[in-house]
Amino acid sequence: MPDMEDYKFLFKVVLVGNAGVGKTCLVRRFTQGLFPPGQGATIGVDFMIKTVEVDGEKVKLQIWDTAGQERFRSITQSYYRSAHALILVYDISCQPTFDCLPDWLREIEEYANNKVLRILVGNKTDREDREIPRHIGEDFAQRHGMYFLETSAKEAENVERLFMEIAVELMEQAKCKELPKYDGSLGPINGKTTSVGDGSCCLRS
Amino acid sequence: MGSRVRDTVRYLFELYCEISPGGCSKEPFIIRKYPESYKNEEELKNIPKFTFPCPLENTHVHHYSFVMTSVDSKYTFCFCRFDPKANSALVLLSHLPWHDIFYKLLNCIAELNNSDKGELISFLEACRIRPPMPGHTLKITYNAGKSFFSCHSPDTKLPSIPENCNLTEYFSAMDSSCMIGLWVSLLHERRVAIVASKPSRLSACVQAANATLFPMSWQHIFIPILPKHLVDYLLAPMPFLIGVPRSVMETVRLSEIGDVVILDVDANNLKTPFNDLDDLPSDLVSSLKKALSDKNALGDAVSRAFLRALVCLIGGYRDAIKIENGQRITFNPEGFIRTRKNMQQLLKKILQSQIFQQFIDERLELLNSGRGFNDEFEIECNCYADKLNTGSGQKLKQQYRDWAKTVKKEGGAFFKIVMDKANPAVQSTVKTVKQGGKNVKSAVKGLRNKIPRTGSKPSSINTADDSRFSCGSVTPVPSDSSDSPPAHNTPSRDAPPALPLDLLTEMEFLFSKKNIRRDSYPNSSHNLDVSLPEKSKTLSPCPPPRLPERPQPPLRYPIISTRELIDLSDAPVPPPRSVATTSQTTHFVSNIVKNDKMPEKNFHTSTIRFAEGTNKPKLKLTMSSNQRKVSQTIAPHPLNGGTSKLTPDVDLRSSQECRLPKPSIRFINIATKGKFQESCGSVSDLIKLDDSPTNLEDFDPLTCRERNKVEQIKSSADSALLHEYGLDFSQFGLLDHPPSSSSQASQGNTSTSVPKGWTTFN
Repeated sequence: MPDMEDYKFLFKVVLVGNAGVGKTCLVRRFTQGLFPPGQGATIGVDFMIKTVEVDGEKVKLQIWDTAGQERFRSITQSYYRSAHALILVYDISCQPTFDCLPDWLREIEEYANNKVLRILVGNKTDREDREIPRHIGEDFAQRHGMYFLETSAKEAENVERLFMEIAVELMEQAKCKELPKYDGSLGPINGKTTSVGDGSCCLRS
Repeated sequence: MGSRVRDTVRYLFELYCEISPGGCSKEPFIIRKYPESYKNEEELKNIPKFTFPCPLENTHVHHYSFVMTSVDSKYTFCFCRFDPKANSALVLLSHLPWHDIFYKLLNCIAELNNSDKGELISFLEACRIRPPMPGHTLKITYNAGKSFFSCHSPDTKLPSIPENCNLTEYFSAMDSSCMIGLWVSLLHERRVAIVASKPSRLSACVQAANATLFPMSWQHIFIPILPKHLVDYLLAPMPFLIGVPRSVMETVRLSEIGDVVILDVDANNLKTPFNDLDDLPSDLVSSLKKALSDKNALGDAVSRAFLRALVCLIGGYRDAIKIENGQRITFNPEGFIRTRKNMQQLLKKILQSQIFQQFIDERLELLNSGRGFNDEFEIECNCYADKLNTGSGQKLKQQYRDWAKTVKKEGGAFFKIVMDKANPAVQSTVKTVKQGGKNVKSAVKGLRNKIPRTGSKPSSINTADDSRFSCGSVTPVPSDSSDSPPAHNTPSRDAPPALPLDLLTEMEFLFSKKNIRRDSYPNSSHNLDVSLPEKSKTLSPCPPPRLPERPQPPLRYPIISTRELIDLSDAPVPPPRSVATTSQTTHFVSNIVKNDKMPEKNFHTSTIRFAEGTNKPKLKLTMSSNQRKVSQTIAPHPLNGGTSKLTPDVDLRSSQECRLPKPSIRFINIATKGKFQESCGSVSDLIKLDDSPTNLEDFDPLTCRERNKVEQIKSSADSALLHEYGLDFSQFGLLDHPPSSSSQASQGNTSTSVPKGWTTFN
């Protein structure tokens, strides 16, 4: 079982963005449908896990897709609360998905831990009908203190890199912050494992 | 909608299966299932693992439940009974959260499973029909009449002790501070894990804890019993309410889970990293604590304590509802925060929560569609408002009434717009009700005047699908048949425009329901008489009541409508009828065959029992359906017209064929016997389903409270009210409200402001 795996860090990554921008595809591409094989149908929310290695250390990435939450008019603070990284996705061939970014950001800013790592992703670079030039996306990301990357889930372009960079960055943060005080009163702390929580400091902004 | 219980329920249960726990090297697996044809592979794959989420004690029989959530976030409830002796678990999947009923059913199944597997199938077959309507009872006899299963459709009352096994278990296991702590955590949408060693206790506590949020409902991950293979869901970054078997919890690294609230049921202990309780006003906490500290609390005291606490917190939402004539009704968040001076910070938090937002969305939708609502929460809100003397209860009601009036003046276009966006089930219901929106009383009184003489054209009233009002429109019976029994009815029989007639039937149905003990079989002539034609008509599309064929219900059957369509009688089954029955059954069947062309929509079923003795039709259907479809009456079936009898029938089955026309007779009888008033009264009550029996200011904005004035308030909101009437069926138990007041039902509403749009939905 995954919980018995030997890994040193566990990070939670949440994807947000309009419906149809390819969030789920990104995750599936990255995890290749690894664990767990689609509990979405019985739990209503799906997530993927992939363990990667960074500097010889095992990092477990748990990636949560918001797909199940789209029935909500908005996704409130509860959703972002304990995420370590937020990936905000738009579709480079669909202007409206880009135009919605400020709304998403407002929500994130309002609800998410303000130290959460944020990444802007323009997906579907395989499409020929690009509507949003790369530099526009870059500008936007820069203005809002986010990482930026363009990907193609279809062609597997930059997908691996996206998640690896997240892992690296989060690990940096974790290391420079020592142990977070996540666990507080809640039982014994397993010294072998740590997660980055509220305390993470190395924020890029 | 915020509700995560499906509003379309076709069967009492979807699937039954028996599951083996497997062995040391073998995963749990399904031994057998019914119906065999059940296809949902995803569910089938997961059921065994959910059923055996952890090792179970071998000492006693376990009853527990789990929930699967579909992609559209709707729940499927799964009820389990594990018997260590049989070394298997019996599982029922249903879309209905009726724990107590299904545990009972599982016991019956277990009994049959151990004795007669053959009969089990018949039994399951008999059970797998539409769920009983609110206030109705389904009774199934088996084991040669010696045993029976009966299920009374739960009403909207609050969960009470000891009837509600979940709440009873929860309340007995936890002390007041734990319950309050957990409740507050849920309000804050924390990540909540409930831990217990026994799955039965676990699922009960999770369900009961969730129910304390009423009228809100948990919107996030909800797993009453977490199977081992899904343990990583405890790491979800979003809120969850998960029941974790102790053995599963032991495999988890607590450090990984992070900021989670853990309720240990066995230890009666709550650990939380938050200070959520501090947000609550202390007087609220202390009164809640006081109410929950009485360990002998019975009835709904516990549920009501939580409900009242919620009223203190969010009951002010009513003052934040913005109603302006001609505009969509909206909610004003700032206004909401101002409603409670001493806890504005808390309200700000609540305002951001998904459960509250969902709740508001739902309320707004009900208001904007003209349906309104009323439930225990609103009643308590009114109480509270009265105490505070803000008068908000009255104010909102008055505003809403005016609003609805305006809307109506504008021809209902607004409703239509709203409804166009609503889901189809709702649409069709609204539509039908709208059609029926003519004043009920006038419909009753002036049937003959109002009903067009020409044969109705059912096509124009395409409520057919699944609307419970569909009867009239789908009646294929020649409308002008001359052999309708009683002369009085002649006019009306001419043309059954579905609507008024439907309402009529409704009314009668209610009427009889109120005034006649449903179980007094022989005497309930009203009931029976009318039901007969119903029955035959109803049944007609279905295969004869023989095993192994199962009546085929319509494809889609919103529960909203079921209420009217099925009347499941709890009438005690008459003593065994042997030979005679058989032959009668034959008649019955043939009768059915004659009627075979009838549309399927009208399928009704009632008591189904297994015949005893040797000469059987194995199954007998005892029908006592409600008396809707006066239309039928009015347009008597040619086949049966001549044979009608007036005598109350003790045994429906014996005389079904001859009694079809009776309903019309009955109708007349009522009128002529001077019971008319009475029936009208009940009718209006009906329409005002929302009217609570209490004197409390319930929130039914469209209901006119001054009864004396009712008559004068002609026109106005009646059609809207009828919407409401029709639509509120989604809330069970409305029928249970004792008749309280007369109402606008009696207004002579001849003006129909129903826009054409309403009738042309499909």
